Amino acid sequence: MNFRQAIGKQIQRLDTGVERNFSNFLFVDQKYGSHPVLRRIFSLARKLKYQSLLIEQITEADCALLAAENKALAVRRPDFQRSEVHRISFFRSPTSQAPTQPDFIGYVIFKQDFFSGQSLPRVHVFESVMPPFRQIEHNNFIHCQRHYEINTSLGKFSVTGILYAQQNDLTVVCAHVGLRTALACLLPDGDITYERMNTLAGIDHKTRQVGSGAGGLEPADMENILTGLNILFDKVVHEPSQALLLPTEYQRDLYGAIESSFPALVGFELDDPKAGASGGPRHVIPVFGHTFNEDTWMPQAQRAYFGGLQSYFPSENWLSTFVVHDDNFGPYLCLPRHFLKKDNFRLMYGLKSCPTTFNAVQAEAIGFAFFDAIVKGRPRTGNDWYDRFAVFTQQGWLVLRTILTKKEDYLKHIEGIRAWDGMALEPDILQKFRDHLPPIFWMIEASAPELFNSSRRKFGELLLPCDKALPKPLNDSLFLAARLPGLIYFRPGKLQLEVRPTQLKGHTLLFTFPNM
Amino acid sequence: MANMNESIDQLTASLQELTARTYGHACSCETVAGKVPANELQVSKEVESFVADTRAYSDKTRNVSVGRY
Repeated sequence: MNFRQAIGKQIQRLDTGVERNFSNFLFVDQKYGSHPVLRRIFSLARKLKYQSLLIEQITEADCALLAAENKALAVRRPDFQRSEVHRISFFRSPTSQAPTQPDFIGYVIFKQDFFSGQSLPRVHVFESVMPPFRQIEHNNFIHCQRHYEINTSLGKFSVTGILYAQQNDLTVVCAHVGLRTALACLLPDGDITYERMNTLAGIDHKTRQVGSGAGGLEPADMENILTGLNILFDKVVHEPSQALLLPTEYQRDLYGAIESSFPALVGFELDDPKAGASGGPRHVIPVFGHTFNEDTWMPQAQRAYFGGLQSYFPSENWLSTFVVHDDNFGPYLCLPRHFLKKDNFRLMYGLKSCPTTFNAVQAEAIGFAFFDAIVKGRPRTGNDWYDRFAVFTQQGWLVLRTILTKKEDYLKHIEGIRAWDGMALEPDILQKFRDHLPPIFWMIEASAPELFNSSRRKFGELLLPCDKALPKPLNDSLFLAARLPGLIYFRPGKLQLEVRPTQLKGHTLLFTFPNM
Repeated sequence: MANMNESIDQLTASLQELTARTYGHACSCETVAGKVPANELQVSKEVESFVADTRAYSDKTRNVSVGRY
């Protein structure tokens, strides 16, 4: 039994509205030792208009997970005595009302570990699930949120969000909690225990320890955990000390993972003037979303003032910040796109739920090559929107957005899209896609800057297989289909492309994930 | 002033070219169903080498495990 399912003993129910002069600061100062991450979580609750909270005590007798965690702590630190755990739940309703599901905001598990000879406990947020305050209407995109049920003494409630956790620096370090957040996005249960992770990494707290005095997990440990759980991943490495210099920008790979609704982990080296040849200390954080700046100056200014001509604009250019958890600072923090530079970046894992033989950045480059080849073969059709697509392609002004897409999601998307004149794809064309597409594939959407960032619309998209070995040289065998204004390209056989006209001749909405 | 207008000028000129032809009237060249050789889908040398280089670096670093987190 975990902390969400455990039956808690109610120890406090409190009104917290601003009009009641409730102070988050004072409460966290008095009750929880001014814990900074708890203060961050309380501030999220405030933004989400919480009016009351419920504090429950969770004991080992009621929670097998707590018993297992404490057992590991006792092995790691024989002076470990006991722990005290509070589950704090936040509600939009005051204490005078029985809360219903819409009143429930989220929860946090606060753990205090006591050791002999130490007057103060070691404290940390064992876990928390709060909904992100900023939503799609705030240009905030988090594709991989999970649904969690919490069994409180006031009833069962649910919350949708990204699980957050803090290390205790004894049995669990930043890599554990980063992995836990990322794995929670993908695993069927929406969570994993540290006991399982440590078993997979070979950490028994006796012969091999982590945390204070012992150090963190090595990348190989993290990979053992992922592989042991059958989780696939793409890896990006930048290690100047080993003369391994990443030839591209890691942000493109990171965006490629999260835009396909997968979580990622980003590891970096801290600036440390005292660092020796082995480098400074390192930290890793989970990344699972991004914000979007529709009015950003950067894409065109980068090209015009600071860089050479590019063949197209990656949609990542409009990304404003990555949405991350940092176990040191709290959940749902925004990391500006180029704040964490390559000087400090060292490692990225993009988790994924299916095998791919090439990544999003490579798929996008190949997709552009095929768009370009289509336009070379058919520079104009007389349809205004196809011809604009052709001009933007020829002049290097296309915006491309690449997503690993399930067939069922894509079919739902193309069944729903309409041009502004109301025209849809014809049923026989939909059937053709239904009959011939593989279960999962790369989709490269093509748009123009003003079409992409303001209307969130596109000229069309091109589909590539994701699991086919790349031929040398690259060739048309990687092409599945393309949908453009007034035209559909299929590749039914090896030698020829089938070109079909369609009544859908205008631009259409960009793809969105069904759960958004 | 930075001279960054060439790319914009080319795009603008091409779009004006489209606009100059009977905008708003029915298309004069309707697309008809047909087939084209698949090998029309060529991949440029730049894309070929970008994909090859990034894959080679990825292969080279696949088993690298440096540092602790």
